[in-house]
Amino acid sequence: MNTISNTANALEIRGLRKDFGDFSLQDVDLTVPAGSVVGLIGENGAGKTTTIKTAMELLHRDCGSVKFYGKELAEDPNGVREKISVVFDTPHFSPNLNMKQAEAICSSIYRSWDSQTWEDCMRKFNLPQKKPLKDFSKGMKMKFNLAVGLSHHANLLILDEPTSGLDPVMRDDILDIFLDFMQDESHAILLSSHITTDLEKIADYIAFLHEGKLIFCLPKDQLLYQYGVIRCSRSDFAKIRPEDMVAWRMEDYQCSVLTCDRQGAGRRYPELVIDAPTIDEIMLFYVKGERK
Amino acid sequence: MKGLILKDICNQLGQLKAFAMMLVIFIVCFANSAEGTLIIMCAVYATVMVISNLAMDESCQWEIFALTMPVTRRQLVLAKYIVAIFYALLGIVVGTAATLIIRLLGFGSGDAAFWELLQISVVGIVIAAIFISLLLPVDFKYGVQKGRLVLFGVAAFIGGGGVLLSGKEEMLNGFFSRFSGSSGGLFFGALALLLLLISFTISNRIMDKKEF
Repeated sequence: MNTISNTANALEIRGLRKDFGDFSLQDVDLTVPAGSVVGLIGENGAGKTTTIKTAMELLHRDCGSVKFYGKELAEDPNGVREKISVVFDTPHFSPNLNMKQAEAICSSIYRSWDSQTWEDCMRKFNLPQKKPLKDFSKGMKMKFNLAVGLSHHANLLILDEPTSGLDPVMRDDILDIFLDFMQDESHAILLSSHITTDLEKIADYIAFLHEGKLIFCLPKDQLLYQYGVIRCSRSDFAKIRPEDMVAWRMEDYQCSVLTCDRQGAGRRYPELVIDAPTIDEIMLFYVKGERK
Repeated sequence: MKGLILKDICNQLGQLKAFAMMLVIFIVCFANSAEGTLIIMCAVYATVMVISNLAMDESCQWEIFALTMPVTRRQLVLAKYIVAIFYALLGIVVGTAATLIIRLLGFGSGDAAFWELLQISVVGIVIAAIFISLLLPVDFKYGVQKGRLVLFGVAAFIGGGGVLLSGKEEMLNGFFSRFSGSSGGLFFGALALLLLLISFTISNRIMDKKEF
């Protein structure tokens, strides 16, 4: 029986720490509200997969708490996991298994397994029943992973680089599956990805990890519509108020300044060019730029 | 748990040809040996098949995914022990059947009574239990590659022991005569169970500390 209480947050991470010596996850606070898609971004080695693995207790955390729908995994490990689906970028089943065998295995593990949903997914995703996984394309493998996740009626999808290495058509297909999944307001997605254009399409919040620290977790619209990039010369740079600067980058002939108040900056510096930023640009400001 | 066992058996289906081929090789090699040899060889070979399950799990990083499913670390460990014991029993059944078929066809030289074959099967189970008890904790801790080294080590140890004890048949007969009959079966059965329990406890501790 599902014992997960219906609370507002699908995932609530507080003060999560994991020390590896040469790298550490430092006091990560991250919330995935039910009904929302949170995009987790950061450069390679920033701690995205470590965060997911530590939350799922694949890695032992040093301190902090992780709650899924208000419950720690330790309270009801199997009951909580029944409602979560973690999708990695490759299937973790033996490549010799076919869909029928995979279903037989999964249906024996998940109490809430729904064979009808599985069959619907097989048809919808065009996955052949008898072909072994090793003969699937990368996109088909990802669809297979998603079919497993959807067929046990998971409420929370945790996806680690699900669209990496896929062509734009397949990526669009996968994003459609996510949007379809989000039709139910109790559902939520935590999506770790390098492909920020995908996140711009579907994420409600963007969480940015850098060197094991969560730098920000903000609504995507706030980042895209309130943040701005001021392009100016070095002499103009001196005129910009420190409170208007989140981060800046000095190039040979130009300075770029990330501001969190695009409209205000537009009024204060009408002579300067202010562009709407992309998530990639914002990430680069934090990673490569200078900050107060 | 059922799903984990099913997964290992499904993965092993692709190896059936290899198992059949090994059985043919064993029959050719041991048809004229003492009748129990074939049973014990089949039991040991079948038990060792669990390593290929572990190797497959390792190559596709199954445990990482499995632990995101409603599966506990203890269940992962227990499933492997159950599968290994199942393989050992399967090996004994196949080995005994092959022995009887060889006899029926008039090949081979054995004439052991059925209860003697049963006793040999118990020995096969004990040997399989020793293999399982040694291999699984090492494989859980260090992975399959180092686990194979341990397997070679165990084989060398047994082989070395055989060489050292050759010519001391009287002493061995004296020792083993104490365990003849049903009491011997019980003693060795209990020993196998004890070994498996100790090994299972160690494997659980290893798995609890393991990070993926």
